[in-house]
Amino acid sequence: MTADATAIPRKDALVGYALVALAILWIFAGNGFSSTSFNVFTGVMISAGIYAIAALGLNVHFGFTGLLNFGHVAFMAVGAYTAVLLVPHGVGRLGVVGGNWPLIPAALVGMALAALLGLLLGIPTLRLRGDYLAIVTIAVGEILRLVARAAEGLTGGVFGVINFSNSLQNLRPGFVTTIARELRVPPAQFFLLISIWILVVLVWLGLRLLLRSPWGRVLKSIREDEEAARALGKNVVAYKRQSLMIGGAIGGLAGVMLAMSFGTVRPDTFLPLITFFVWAILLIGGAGSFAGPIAGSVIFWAILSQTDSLANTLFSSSAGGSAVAAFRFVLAGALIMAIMIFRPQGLFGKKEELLLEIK
Amino acid sequence: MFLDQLANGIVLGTIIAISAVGLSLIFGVTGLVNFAHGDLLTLGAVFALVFTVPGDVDPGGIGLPFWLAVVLAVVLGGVVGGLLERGLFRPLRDREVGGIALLVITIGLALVVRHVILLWIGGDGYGYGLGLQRRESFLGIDLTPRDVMIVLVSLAVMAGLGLFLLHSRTGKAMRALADNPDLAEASGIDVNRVILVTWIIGGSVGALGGIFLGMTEQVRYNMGFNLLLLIFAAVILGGIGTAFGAMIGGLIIGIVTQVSTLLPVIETNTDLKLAVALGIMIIVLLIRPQGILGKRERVS
Repeated sequence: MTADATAIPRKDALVGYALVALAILWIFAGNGFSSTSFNVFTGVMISAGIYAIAALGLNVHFGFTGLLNFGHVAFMAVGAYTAVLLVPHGVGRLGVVGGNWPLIPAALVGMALAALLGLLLGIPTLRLRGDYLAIVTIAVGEILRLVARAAEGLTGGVFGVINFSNSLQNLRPGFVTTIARELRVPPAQFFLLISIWILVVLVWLGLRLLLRSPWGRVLKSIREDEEAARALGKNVVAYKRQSLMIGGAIGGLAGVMLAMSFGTVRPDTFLPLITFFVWAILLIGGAGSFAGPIAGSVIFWAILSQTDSLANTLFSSSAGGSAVAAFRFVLAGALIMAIMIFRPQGLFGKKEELLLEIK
Repeated sequence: MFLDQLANGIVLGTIIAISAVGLSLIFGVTGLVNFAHGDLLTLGAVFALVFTVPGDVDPGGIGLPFWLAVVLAVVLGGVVGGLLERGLFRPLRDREVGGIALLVITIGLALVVRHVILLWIGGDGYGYGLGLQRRESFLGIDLTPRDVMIVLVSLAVMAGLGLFLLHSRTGKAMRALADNPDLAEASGIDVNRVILVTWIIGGSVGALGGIFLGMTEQVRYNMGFNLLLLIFAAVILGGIGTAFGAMIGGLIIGIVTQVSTLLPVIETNTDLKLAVALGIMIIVLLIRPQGILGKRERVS
């Protein structure tokens, strides 16, 4: 396989990049280029960055290995809870103080435990047909949330974990604060935006190296033809297991940054619906492509950031917060269906690399 | 306490069983795991709700007698199942859309259906306005007459379905398709017609399951999705793709998860009974992945 094999048709790529540029413009223009434009932009791009990291992880599972993971939120929850419980924090109704780790090692442990979850999920499922993995992951995604709610002594139950955001903001260099003041953006938000997008680039570069290595080529060969890979003496189950763990660790990292952007972590932060947002993003961008998850996330969040006004127009009288939220999910579901029906390769994917049958 | 939870478990188990049959039949005949099945249950329950609730009570209905509302909702559930097959899944099969795409499409469909229902009736739970009933003793187990009716009707419907599968021409064709699609088609079975019948049965029986669930709990936009995990556990335990396995698996999962709410930790967090169901599912996958009645070749 030459380097060109992962390149995509030039025209499609241009359309993709143009759409991303349009999406960013839309986020600004939706607020009429007012003084709040950059604030809104910061907020939307924070979400887009976090979900881009999550989608990069899911891309390892589904895009490159063909694993049907419908419980990505579980990896995010494990990463987030681990990290915020290790750094200084308050927990539960009384805000009991604990933790003394710096953020970076705490986040690494969070990613390691998310990888461990991947290892465990693989044990009962990887030898079976792909739909069993789908069923077990969707169940684990929901049940971890219930367990987090019940384990009040550790996780603070519904009251959650709070007061951990300083572990990130303590790392903020002085010049970031200065620039943020110039742009009239809250410095904490601005630093969050920068750190998330640095991570997006790091993960993207790391995956590019990893997936273009011999290891990555075996992974793709498993997606293309599992029997052929097996015939060549590759241990298919071991490769799938490693894929689950690596993608899971990246999902865990996304969870840590989601926690940092929310400022609190509660069980209901990690609803199964987050998984489906990540799926919509991956499918828009194109599963199995490198730029896809990032581009998909920017476009998806540009659309979502404008749905509030759209929902208000559609349901003029009754549009409370729940109607707007419901409308977002209808939109995400319809997008998932429409892409799978009309353009299953998304913006940046390649049609001939599409995975068709469940294995 | 134990007998109470056993009674609740039998009721929950029959509801899971009757809800699981449709999922399992559709999987058996078409090979599709329909993640939207739970939301089709909710849709059936909501149809019955708006047929039976009077106009001046939330969410606003047309005030038909309950039995008539149930019949209409079950018919409508079958229509929805048939429309999904004719309008969505058959065209996709004709375009030779792959199994993975179909599975992801059912996930998208589930999101759409669930949240359209949320926009329609809002996030509150509703009752059918049937009134409270006192538990009476039936064969040594305390149940309300309504629960007994749910169990008996479910058992009757499942028995009828079983006879249909075993003895009717269409039922035999369905089993033949599940066994070997190529051979079935080669022997002159009208595949599209059989699949359509399967979707109609799955939709209407699912609607009935949803209504029963709504009668024992409340009608809420996410009730079917929450039950879906138990349904999956049931079909994996019983053997995915076998209607009879789904029935047995449903009963076992219902009783075990409900009785597990007597255990120390789960007693105070009854939602954790879902974790028990997941535990059973994982153990089955580890030691007998084809389930109680499943066949080995489906597994890998």
